[in-house]
Amino acid sequence: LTNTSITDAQEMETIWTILPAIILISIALPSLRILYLTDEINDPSFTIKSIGHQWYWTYEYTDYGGLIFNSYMLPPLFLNPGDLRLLEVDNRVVLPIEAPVRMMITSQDVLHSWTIPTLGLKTDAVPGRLNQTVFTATRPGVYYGQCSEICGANHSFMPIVAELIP
Amino acid sequence: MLATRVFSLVGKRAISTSVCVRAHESVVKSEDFMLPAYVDRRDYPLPDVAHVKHLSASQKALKEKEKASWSSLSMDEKVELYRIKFKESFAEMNRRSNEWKTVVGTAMFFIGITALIIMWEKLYVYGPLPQTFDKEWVAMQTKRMLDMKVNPIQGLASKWDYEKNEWKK
Repeated sequence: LTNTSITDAQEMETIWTILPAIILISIALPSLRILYLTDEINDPSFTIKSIGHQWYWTYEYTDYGGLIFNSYMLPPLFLNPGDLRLLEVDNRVVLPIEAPVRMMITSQDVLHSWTIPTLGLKTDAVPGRLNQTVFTATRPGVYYGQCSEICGANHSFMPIVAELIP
Repeated sequence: MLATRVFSLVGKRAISTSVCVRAHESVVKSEDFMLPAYVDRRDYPLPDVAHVKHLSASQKALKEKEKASWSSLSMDEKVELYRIKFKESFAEMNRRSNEWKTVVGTAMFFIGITALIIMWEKLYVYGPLPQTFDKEWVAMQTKRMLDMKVNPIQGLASKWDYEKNEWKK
């Protein structure tokens, strides 16, 4: 560590500190800009609030008049033949296709997560915070998801069902 | 030379500090593991002590003869000297054994007992499966999923031939 041919190279050391710093900054700044650009400009035509509770979801359609309802899982004894156990709910979230829909997601008590995997949606429901996700569905049908943040005893028993209608 | 002097010192200390061990030889004290001991290990070819500690008269005579030229020793005497120093030869200590059969057999035995416990558990502890596992229910479920065209690109509905009304080959 004290060999004279490897000490006292201040000029070289300055260069190989400053130059990589410049290179990294020139990568970072456009990258950050692009990160924010990927948050698309949507102009959604429809806004729905989804509020997580222990252990059910509440949906509020307040754009045109007020519609608020709870969505509980159907117990296995209440299933119709051919239904999916642990996935069916009493009241589904009904949404239109081919229209950008904004979901505002929050929670009343503990952390939950509003998920519909086939639509590529997963947003955490954080108490005291409003998270937003926007999507446009193209195919009608019934889409299922399950709460994706551990929230207590019935965390596995609060599914999300979206019914997308033309 | 130095080794024998050190050994004799250690030997004297060994006898004086473990008089109680000598008296109750069935009880193993922790000091025993600190004293030089004999081991038959292929990664420790020259053990700290000889195998035979107390030589008989004939063995003592043989040891005296060893101090002279070794070419005057017969084969049996050489083997006798070896056996004084070492308990097992390398061939003996490295021999194979059938222990693996015992080990594998015992392991499989306990796996079998576990299987019996699990069978008892399924019979007496677990409740019945939900009705959604019945064949008819699963058939209705699958039909409904196909009607809904669930995952039509790469998933379930993509494996169903809607024209021929059967699974794609």
